Amino acid sequence: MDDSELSAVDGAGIGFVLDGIVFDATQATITINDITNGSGQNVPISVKEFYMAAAGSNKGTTLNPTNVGRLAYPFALNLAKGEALRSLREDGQWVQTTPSNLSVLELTFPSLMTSGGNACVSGFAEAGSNCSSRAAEKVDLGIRYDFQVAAGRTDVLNFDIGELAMDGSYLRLWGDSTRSQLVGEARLNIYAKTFELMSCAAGTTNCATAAEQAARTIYLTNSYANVSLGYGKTQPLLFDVTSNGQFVLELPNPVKDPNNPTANVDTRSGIGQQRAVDFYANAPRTNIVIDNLNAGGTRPGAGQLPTGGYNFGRNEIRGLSFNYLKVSSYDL
Amino acid sequence: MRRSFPSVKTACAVLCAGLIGSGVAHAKLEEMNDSELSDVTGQAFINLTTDAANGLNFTRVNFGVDVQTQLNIRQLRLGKYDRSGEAAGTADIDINNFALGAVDDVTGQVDAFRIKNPFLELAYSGNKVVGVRMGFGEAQGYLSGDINRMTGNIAVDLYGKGSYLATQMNCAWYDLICASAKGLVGGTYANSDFSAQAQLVNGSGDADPVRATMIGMVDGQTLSIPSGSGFDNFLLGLFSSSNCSLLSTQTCFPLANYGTFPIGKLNSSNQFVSAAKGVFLSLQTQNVQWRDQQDASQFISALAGAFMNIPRNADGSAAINTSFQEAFNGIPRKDTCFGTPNKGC
Amino acid sequence: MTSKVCGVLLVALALNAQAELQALNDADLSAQSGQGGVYLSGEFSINKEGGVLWNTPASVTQTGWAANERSCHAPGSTATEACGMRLAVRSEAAGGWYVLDNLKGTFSFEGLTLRTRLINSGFGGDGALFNQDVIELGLPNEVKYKNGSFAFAVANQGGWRNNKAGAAAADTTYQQTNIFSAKLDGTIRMQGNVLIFPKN
Repeated sequence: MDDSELSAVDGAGIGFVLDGIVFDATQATITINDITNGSGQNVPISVKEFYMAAAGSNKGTTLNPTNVGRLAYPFALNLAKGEALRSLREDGQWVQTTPSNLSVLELTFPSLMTSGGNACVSGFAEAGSNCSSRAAEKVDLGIRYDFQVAAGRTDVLNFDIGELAMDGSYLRLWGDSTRSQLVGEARLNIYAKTFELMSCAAGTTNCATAAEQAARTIYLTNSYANVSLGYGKTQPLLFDVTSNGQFVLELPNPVKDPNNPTANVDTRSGIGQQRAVDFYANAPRTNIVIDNLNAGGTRPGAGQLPTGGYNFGRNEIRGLSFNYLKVSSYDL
Repeated sequence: MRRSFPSVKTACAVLCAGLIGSGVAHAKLEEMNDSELSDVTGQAFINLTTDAANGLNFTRVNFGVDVQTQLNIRQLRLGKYDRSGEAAGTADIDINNFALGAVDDVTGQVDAFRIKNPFLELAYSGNKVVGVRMGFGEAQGYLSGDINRMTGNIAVDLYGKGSYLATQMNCAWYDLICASAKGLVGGTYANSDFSAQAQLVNGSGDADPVRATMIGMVDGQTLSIPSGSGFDNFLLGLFSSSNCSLLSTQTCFPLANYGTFPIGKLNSSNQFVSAAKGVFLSLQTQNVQWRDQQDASQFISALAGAFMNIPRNADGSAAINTSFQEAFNGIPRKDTCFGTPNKGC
Repeated sequence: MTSKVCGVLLVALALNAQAELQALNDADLSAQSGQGGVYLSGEFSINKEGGVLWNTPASVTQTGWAANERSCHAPGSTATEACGMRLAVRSEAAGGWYVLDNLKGTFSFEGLTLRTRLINSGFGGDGALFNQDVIELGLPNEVKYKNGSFAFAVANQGGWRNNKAGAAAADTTYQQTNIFSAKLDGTIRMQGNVLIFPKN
């Protein structure tokens, strides 16, 4: 195809929808290794009670099939031009965040809707009402980790998420010629009506009756997280492996010129100010909100606020934005 | 006529990628000594350690990472629930325009906040989680924010010259003791470095570690001259802060006055020379004694609720050091946003 | 008695012998409708006995391994283990490598189906609006794993090197940081279909 024909193509993609899906790994033995203790010995982590099924599973006791993704809003693997892609800004505007004139490989979860939509967390308008997933497309997901931390001591972390949706999450990757590497931009949206963490395994000592289990559970109700990593135009997400086999995760300074990253840039005027203003106006921010956090209480009914226990109330981090981040690993 | 598919049992496709056989047959199991053991363990940046103290068990995940960051959070609120003895609608930790690190508009450079060896620790009573803390082995840099409420243990060292301190002392005309103290402080001790310890307080000089709005000297706290003689400090010991006042000097200040706190020690040219150790943020359902990272025989008592710990270093110096002048006048907020705004970006 | 049965049989056979197989013409053939699609069952294993690159050494002491030996046992284990497949990717000029290491195991499934399907109804009202063909990949109800494992790591070289000084063909500059590794055994139930279709 010549250039004019090619430019007429909007971007090709493949959509995926999961139809009548149930995932149940409770009969399998999964162990995660390579986490060591202070003396260098392996601390195996057993993964149990791993399931994904229709919402209303009562923490995995009843697994029914569910759809995930909708035919009009599927999971997608797209190859598109940077100028064709959009992200949702805090004020509801869709803005371009990826650089123009390059091809971007995008893996998306069911997208958010530009108009209309469903409540992302039922009964909690603050989380947004532009999710494409309806109640029939939300899932229950659970997993249990057993850490054999010391002789005779096993720590159990039993997670159960109720009515989970991840609409609007995506991962975008493209090649950055200035930096000579693969860079990206990612957004992880997690909407959960309930999120429970029980620190014991049901049926074991001190964890048999409903009251005992409730006392050992931490309840999150009406929670959502919009984690934004990277703003393609001036702050792409860089994940490098260094020459000594360690990794570096970096969000570079958006006002700097990537061709000359150490040179000074005056942000009070000119290109420096333009970059700063554009970044603060359009780069997506991270929000993590737990509308109710409770430890040791009891839910009177599914999806309802727990009573009793210690109520930590509302906890939130809103509008987190990085002007710079560099995380470098090293051996402990 | 249509052929039916062969039955499952007879149709098995086997794909084998491995060809070379193993040579394990003659391996003899031998106990490894420590040096051999350390040879074969994989290198990794996460490890898990355990602890037990005061009837609680602890499990800690340590991350071998070095973080440099400059970030802004518009609203940081932890523990917004009704708490007895506190005003309704307040939170344990409530900071607007929170920022770590600072920026320089002229050069576009970032003055990053440094964190080393962060960890996540869970406290268990039996098999019940009673607390979780996120700690930083070392933290160094500027912490900024409009602090509405703070809960925790925030250790501050105030320092300054006698000459400045004297200017803040307002003595009533009949108060001879105050007048003579002022004379001494501004005269004999004008050039001496005074120091005082401050922490979260309420307006009456009581320690107020829960939802505090002020920072200052608690009742009974005295000034000292670190390099002074025993006699100097004896004299100072006669005068202690009471009801937020010491020798007619105001000793408690609203947290809102402080736009930025330096975490770690600054030298005279305002460069960071050492980091604060033992900084952590925790949530607990009961009072929990968390082990002090700086002194394994000590514990930090964190109250139920959300709690921020910015403690004294092992050598007794506080993580936050500010001058008396800054304490009285407030510390202006450092610029944490590029371009025109200096916060809220 | 036997001879009478034989007689009947012989007559039956003779009658049958008269029927001739004839080819169906196209019109008759098109009148037949069968099920389209594929039904697959299978078992495959990756590096069950180790791979081509490394022999499994006699002991876990890394300094004693010969030039083409490597053991992929868990840290702290005293028994050696054959190594799985290694895949390393570098996404940066002169950078380090992302490694999928020790990928091995036996994986078997029964009843994976593949067919096309026209969706023009159902799905809570979406089907009628969609009205398109999709490829339906029917998941096998159970997938069995045996001794499955993999590790995700980052390294400064694509190929693995023995970095213990004193070992044969050692390269002490080689560094690999394991992020995590997992072992998988047993049956995982996966029910449902994956619908795949082009999206504009």
